[in-house]
Amino acid sequence: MSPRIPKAAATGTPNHSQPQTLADLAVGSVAAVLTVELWDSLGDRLVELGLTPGAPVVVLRRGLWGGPVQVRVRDFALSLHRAQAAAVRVQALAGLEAQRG
Amino acid sequence: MADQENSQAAQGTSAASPPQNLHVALCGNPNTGKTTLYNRLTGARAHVGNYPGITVEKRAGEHHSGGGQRWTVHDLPGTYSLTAHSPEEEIAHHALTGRLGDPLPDVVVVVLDASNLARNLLLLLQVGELGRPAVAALNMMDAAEKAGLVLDIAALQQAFGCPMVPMVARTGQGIAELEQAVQRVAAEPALGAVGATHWSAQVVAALEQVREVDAALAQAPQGELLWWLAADREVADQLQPGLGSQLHRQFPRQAHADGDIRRLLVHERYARIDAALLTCVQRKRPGQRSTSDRVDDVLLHPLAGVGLFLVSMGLLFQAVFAWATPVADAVGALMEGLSAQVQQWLPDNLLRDVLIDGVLAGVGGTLVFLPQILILFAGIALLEDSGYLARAAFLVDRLMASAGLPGKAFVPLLSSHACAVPGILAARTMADPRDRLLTVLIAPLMSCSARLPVYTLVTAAVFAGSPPVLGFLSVGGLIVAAMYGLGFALALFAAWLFRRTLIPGRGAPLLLEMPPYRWPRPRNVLRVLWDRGVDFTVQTGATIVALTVVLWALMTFPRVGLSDAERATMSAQVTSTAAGSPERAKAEAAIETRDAQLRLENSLAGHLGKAIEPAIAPLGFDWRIGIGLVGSLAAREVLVPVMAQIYGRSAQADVDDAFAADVGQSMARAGALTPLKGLSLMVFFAVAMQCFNTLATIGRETRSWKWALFALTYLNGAAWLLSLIVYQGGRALGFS
Repeated sequence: MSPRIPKAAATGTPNHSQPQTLADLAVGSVAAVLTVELWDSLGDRLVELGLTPGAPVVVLRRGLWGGPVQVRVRDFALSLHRAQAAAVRVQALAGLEAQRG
Repeated sequence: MADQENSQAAQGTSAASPPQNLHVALCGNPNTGKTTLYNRLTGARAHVGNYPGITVEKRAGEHHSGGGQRWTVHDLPGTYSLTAHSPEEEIAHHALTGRLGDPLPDVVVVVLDASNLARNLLLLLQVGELGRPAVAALNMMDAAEKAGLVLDIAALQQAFGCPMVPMVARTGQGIAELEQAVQRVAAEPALGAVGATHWSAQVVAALEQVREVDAALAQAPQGELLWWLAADREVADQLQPGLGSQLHRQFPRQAHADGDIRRLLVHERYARIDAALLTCVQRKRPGQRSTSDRVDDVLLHPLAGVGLFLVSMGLLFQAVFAWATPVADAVGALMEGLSAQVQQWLPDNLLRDVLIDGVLAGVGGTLVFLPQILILFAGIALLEDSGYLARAAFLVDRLMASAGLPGKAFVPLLSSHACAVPGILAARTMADPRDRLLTVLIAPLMSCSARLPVYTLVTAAVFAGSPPVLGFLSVGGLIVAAMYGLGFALALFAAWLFRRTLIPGRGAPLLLEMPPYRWPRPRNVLRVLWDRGVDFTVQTGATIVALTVVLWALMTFPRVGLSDAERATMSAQVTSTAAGSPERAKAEAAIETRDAQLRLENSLAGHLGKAIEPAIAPLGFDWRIGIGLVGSLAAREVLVPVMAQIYGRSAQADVDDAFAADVGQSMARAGALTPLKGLSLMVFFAVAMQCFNTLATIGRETRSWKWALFALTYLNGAAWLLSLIVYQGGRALGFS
């Protein structure tokens, strides 16, 4: 169950039609959090770490073979399992090719 | 323990002057330098860092402030929140509300990472809601400055209410100011009040409902209601029977962000924090990537990063596996020299024997682990202090997660291939007690270096003559490699199984923070080495010495060797040879060898070996190997000299490959080792927990003999079963 990176996110076109999760975003994408769809203490923990509705996140890194996803949220680099990232619904803001350029 | 001070402190706070004995609690997110501040305040000699043992510990130390006050500083576990979803959070909450038997803290110092304020301020708000006077320590100001953040301290103070003290705990900058702020707040608690959040109507209505749920909450302040509303159900039920369940029935989880009241509390706190930070923090270089980010581009790169990871772990393993050997050998030689001295000083009696073969052997058996432990911990301290350990955990996370293990379990498991004792100690780098326990339980399955002489004994005896596979791969080498694979695969399987049964945990949620890279500080590394070294030598060493003495007694008593008649016969043979001839020397040695053989056979260990024969016969082992199993409790490689003694080979202190091979060939000639029996023996040694040093370390690290006994039972049970399958299955297939 390794989620493929959607074309739209990879090429930089904002995608408003289909719901996306943190696990779908390519490295360098910027998105706003919608909800954390984990209704248990783990989900609460993610929210407490800053994944609140409207919070901007940048995808910093994706681990190999379905490994962890690292995002920057409120000045801090958070790593989470791919399965957890898939539970964070987001609205892609831009598919910037990282902030390197 | 601080009960006498309790009443004194309580009286003090009610008076106008600051109390003479202050209770100061330190709390904060993980990685905020809280422990560094604690060490600065208390002089660091209070305890070994990072919550040793499996249960969360609370630490307290003394600090003498400039004003002649004595503080008792309580170091609370690092937490992101106080909702008590984890044991650490439960401890932190209970400590802040006086539920742990300690007095209520007079002042709570909330340590904040100044370069990462939003998330840290969430905890400050929660502490403030509990009603304790607070002082915020804005730690790591240097890192914030480097990141281009300019903090308006006065504005922050205005926005949140309590004193804010900029500081750098690593250098000690700002400690004096923090001291003064704590004293001011102790004298006038109102100064430390964190301003309340303006809650939405939805939250205010919910809080009123909470108030009506239980009579105990009728008079509770708003902050307390907030905690109950969001609190973990089980923790709340423990504090007030039924209340947690009642609140969860009344406020069920709502599957959308604005409907869920618990989420709403967090959202509104963050809304307040975000708004305040807009005016309090100025970004000089927005969007600028830090040095750490750029280093991570390389060290976390899918190719370069993994390559560098393999190289660094290879170096660490090499250091523990090989570089420690000369030092360990020197320690061994030193202990041997000491034994020889004692042998000369004391007359030949039991006391001398117990001193040399029991006590000194036990002390030597402890010290011999020290080089490995110190080298491993120097390596880990460098990895941890520099910030690389968190990156290594990120890289291997996918692999480890498949077995329900966190990425950080990698280093303990890798080091266990050299020796499980330092490997188990290395599990301390993991914050979650459940992760630590799981790692400690499976670490003995890694094929450690003490198993190698046993593998050599078997392969040299029964597989040396086999033609190489594919023309160049030796059968023995392949089988030894298979033993390493067997241990590793079993460890992953056991971890997977325990995650689903004994130690459920929360599926090892990886919520990793990557601390910025830093140069490791030699003082830190040296302190870790000293603490770990002393701790192991004193605590675990005591158990090892005691067990060595017991094992010595088992293998010594009741001391029945050659009978007088036999001795007379053999002596007659000696005198029949020419004086000074090689035959005479040989005949003389034969007497001693035969005597030692008989003594061992007739000892308690010998009887034990014979007693367990029915249990191990189905595995293809006779009573002689049974004695070997008893003897190898000291260390697995002891099997080789014990077998030498039983098979009447002359003893040799240094167990090298040639010696192991020679002993193995004697066993093969006697029919005790066949290819199938040898394979069964190797499988048994690969899996079984025979080493009481490991057992003592597990007992010490888990603070529980229950878990040590569990490890003993499950590992030996699995070893027996697998050997049985190999031997009986092999026989059924026609092998021998």
